Amino acid sequence: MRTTAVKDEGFAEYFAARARPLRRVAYAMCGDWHLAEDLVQHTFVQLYRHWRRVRTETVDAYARRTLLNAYLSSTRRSRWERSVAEVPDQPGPDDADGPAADVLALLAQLPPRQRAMIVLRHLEDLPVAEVAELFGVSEGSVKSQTSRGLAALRTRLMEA
Amino acid sequence: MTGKGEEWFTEALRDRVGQDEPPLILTAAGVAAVGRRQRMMRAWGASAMAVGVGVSLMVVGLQVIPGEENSAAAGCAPPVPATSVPLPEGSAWPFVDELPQVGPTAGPPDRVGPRPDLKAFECAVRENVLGELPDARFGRIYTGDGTTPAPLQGMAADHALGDRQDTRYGVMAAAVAATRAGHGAILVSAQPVDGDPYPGRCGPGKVCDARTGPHGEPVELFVRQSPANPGAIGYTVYVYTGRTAVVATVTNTPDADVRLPVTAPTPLLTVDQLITLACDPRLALWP
Repeated sequence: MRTTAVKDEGFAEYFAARARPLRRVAYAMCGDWHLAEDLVQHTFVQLYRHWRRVRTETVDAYARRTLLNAYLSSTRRSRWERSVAEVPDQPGPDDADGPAADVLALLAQLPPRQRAMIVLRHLEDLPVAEVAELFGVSEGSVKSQTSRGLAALRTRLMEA
Repeated sequence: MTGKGEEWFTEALRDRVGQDEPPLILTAAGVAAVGRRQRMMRAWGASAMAVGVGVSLMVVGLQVIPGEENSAAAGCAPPVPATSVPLPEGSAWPFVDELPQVGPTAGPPDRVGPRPDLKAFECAVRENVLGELPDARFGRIYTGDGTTPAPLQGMAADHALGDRQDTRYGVMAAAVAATRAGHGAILVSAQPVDGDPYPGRCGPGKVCDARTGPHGEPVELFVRQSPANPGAIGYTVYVYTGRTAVVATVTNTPDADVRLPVTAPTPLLTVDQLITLACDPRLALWP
């Protein structure tokens, strides 16, 4: 019981510090606060289950990786999306009320992996090396993908 | 950390994300409880499999071993993808206008208490609906306050229903759905009331039918048909449990007001399925 209490205390502290920032990251990736909360719940449930084995110095990386995997999984077609009826596609993003409001709508037009890379770099302020490790790609690949993504966003913003 | 010339984006992104951030519903204790439950279920699944081998195929067939795939909303059905089903202009949410009052609200906030757990409400709705409609696609439904919550997302019902239903302090979840049979809408809400305020108003010869729920709850069933929209049908049930009134509606048109074109012969759920959903004890948020 004592061990569980200590474990829960440490977990609660980490949750208090990181739940909101991670939810913002999830929201920036998926554009939906509701789904973002589900992704963060999944992340922390997994983290709790492995809390004893996760080292302090790697806990942030573990949480980010879990969140990223959950997000990328959510973008794949689920069984609910295997269509059986002719339903019109989702309408485009609502009219934005300024460049800041445009950002998420524009971001949503990028492929999920590229979007996630950009969010981790710019919202979480992660160094290129850490993003590369998270995605299992080279640093050069992260640089080129984020750079191309931002260029596309800038172009679309100008056109809007 | 980010490169020169990219600050505009960093700043815009941070501004945007901070604009409409809702309060966090999750708690560390809640997440830990789900984690413990998952661990126990996993352990139970492993033991059951060990026991089941060589003993009974049926035992093995019955066990549940949750995996990573379905744990995204642990203890809850997975989030419903927002495949939007746009409604025609002017069709936004004018529903239940011909339905009678659910009942007076239980009173001011000091009597009602804090708003209950939206997540638990949402999970119960999702689980029931997705269980009955496993092959459906779901879309957002436009609410009276102009928001478009995710399909079956739990939300405060303070303004979403406009003035047509007194749902102060209430919660709701709704979606448009497309099934093999056609389109339909579903809406579930819960609100505090002073018990069953209208005992006996339904029955033979009256506008609604009186039923009894699986746990003995009084249930009022309204079946609506629209002379202006031939074939349109709406089932609405009011269920009173403790100080909670649950109102659940299903239709065979992609709006809860049965005004849009009919594409399915019957509503999304049968009356019995709707009653089962509305009588889920987890929806009785005010005991």
